[in-house]
Amino acid sequence: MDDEEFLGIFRDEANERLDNIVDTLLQLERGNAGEDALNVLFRDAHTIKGGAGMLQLDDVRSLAHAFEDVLAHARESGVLPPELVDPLLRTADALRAQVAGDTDPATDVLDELKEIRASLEGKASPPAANGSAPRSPQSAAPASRTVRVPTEKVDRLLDLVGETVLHRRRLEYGLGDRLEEQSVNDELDVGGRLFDELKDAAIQMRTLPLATIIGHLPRAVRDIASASGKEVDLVVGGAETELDRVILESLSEPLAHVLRNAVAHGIETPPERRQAGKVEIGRVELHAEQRGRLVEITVRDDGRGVPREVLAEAGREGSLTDVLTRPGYSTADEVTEFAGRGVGLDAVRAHVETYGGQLEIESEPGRGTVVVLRLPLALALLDVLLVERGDAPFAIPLASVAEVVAVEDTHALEEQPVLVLRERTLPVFDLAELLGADAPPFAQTPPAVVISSGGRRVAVMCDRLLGEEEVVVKPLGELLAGLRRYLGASILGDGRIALVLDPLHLAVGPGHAARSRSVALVQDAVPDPGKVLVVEDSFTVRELQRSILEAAGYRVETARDGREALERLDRDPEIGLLLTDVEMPEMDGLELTRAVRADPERSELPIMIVTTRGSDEDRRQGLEAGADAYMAKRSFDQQALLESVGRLLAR
Amino acid sequence: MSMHVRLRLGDEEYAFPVESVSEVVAVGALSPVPGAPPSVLGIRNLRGRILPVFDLAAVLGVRGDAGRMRVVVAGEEHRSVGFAVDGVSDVCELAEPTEETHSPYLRGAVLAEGALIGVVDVEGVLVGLGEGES
Repeated sequence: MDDEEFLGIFRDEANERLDNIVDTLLQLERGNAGEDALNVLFRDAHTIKGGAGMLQLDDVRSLAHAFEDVLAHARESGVLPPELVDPLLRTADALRAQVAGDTDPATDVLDELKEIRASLEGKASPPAANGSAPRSPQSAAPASRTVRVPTEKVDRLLDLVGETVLHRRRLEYGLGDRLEEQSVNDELDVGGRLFDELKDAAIQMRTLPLATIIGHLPRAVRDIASASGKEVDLVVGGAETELDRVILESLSEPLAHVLRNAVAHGIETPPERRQAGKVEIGRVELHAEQRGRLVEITVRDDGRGVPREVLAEAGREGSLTDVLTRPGYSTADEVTEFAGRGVGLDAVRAHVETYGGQLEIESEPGRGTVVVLRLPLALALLDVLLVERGDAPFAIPLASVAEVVAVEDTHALEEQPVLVLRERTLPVFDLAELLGADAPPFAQTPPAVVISSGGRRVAVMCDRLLGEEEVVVKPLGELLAGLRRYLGASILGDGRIALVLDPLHLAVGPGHAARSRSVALVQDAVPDPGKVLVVEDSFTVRELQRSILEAAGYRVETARDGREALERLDRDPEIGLLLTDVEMPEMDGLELTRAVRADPERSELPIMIVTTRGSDEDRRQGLEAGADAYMAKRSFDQQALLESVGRLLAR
Repeated sequence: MSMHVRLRLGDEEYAFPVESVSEVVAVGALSPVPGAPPSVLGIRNLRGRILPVFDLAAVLGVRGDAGRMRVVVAGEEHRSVGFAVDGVSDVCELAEPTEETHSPYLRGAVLAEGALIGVVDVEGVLVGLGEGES
């Protein structure tokens, strides 16, 4: 049999099926169709589609497919809405014309069917709290056109794409002088374009729309709002924006947290909003958009914004993002059920940075706050800074690299070398030491990469910088997955393997592990030396004091002013010593001292004042207020501080 | 009788059941992984994938030669693990292990051609290495 004969057989059968379809549709309209009518319709359309597919009659196949899609929905719900009979009859007519040889693709009928399908899906999905929930993508994708592929296969495809990059570099190297030739160059250009397309296609296979994870958010926002007596509209935009599956799956929690913040801290109560001249219903926007190789997810609220003093602090300390993502920071006046102090934006930031992304926060007092999460479109491809230490290459995600400096001179604090950068100190580490690798001593002025992650900044010294590169990040395998310091490894152009460093882990430094170990050892012998509350409005001084005390084994809590200190004391009965500055906003150190002394439960709490004001009069005032010790920052030295702290805590 | 890959660690002989071995490759260029357990020799580029390579002698606690020559690749494609050994001698039929061993990493041992061959329990080794991970 030749194609012509096949075509004849197909036409006969298709016409028979179409007759059948028309009859059944009319029966359905009159209400006298059999129980099985929808299944019969579906099967007839399916048979036509199958035959058309084999004979490569693409228009027939598409139309039959669209017909089948609509029926699949009707079959699920068990009824064919009467208003669908007309368009389906029109479809049958168009199919008959196409089967007979009409080349019109019947676009209008196709579009109509698509619309019908979309509206059916809209009805099928559960109504969202405020109607802005996106359709779930599972129902948006016509099942019969979806191929299920194990994720490993897609990952393998990306692996191969990465290999192609390497191949290209080797090829260029091997071509040498021939690179000058026009024809060679042209072919390389073609190869480059093909590679870019292949890469994009492979990346797209690993992405899913944001809609997959935000379905529950409108409801969550409504619940949080009503629990705090507020009214909030959540407006979702760009839910179809696609993100790497792995990033997406873990984004749900941080995103919910940012929304919680917006509702709990940002949006005011209706009376407050009235007073501020705003509409009573607060507005929170969640918007996603692809920008180049990044996806930007913005959460914007029209609430009260952050307090002016926080903005002022941000001005002094760098950025609002840095201030708000300090561990444990919160702008709520009180701890609410939904937005406690313990879980904060620091966790969100750490999360975003783990994937080589960025968090940015802007706020205008009285007008609202904007939180932007910038995430890479594809996790597997990462822009990195390549560095070398002890002959081994390492990759640092570029998003976490603040700057690179040449180390000429370091100072030491408690044996921890620090770098003074624009009048701020920065702990500096040898990359090899951080990782526990062997490496020779450094040359004269080694470069140091300033890494900013999770609200911390550290400088990491290496032998040399190899440059920026886009690399394919590959997992180290299950047995090495426990090594949290690495995001994975990348194969470089010269065939060497670079370990991709987790900036968050680097920023923590080796101190934490080592320190907690030494504290644990000490604890075996002697009891816990105690907990100190450091009250200080300057971030640098506060962190300096914290690190000195922690290195000596003390547990440290911090507060930024007297009022916050009193809150801390209320919540934490373990605090055994108060170390306070004098000049602070809200409530100064002298007022704090008096307030603590006035509380009968705390009249015994040792208080030590550390201040720039070093005159005898100041000292007298401090001691009169009830302080046990007084120390001038001018004469500040660690040993004296530790001695005083030890003496006061031992009392 | 079943097929095994016979290999050498110093003076001792071991065998991997052939179904748990996907290939045998040269040790190649191993990149060290600072912070990894001591039994990890490094990672290697295996046709674009990252292959973690363990020192089988260290895993089993036996004394091998000074430097490993070959890597036996075990495990499924996407969870492959390499075991560095001193040499791979043969792929041959071996009887079921007759001698009991105490190691959780061995199925037992079998005598063949006058040599005592320890039959490695690859699944047991992988589980052990997974649990030993800090």
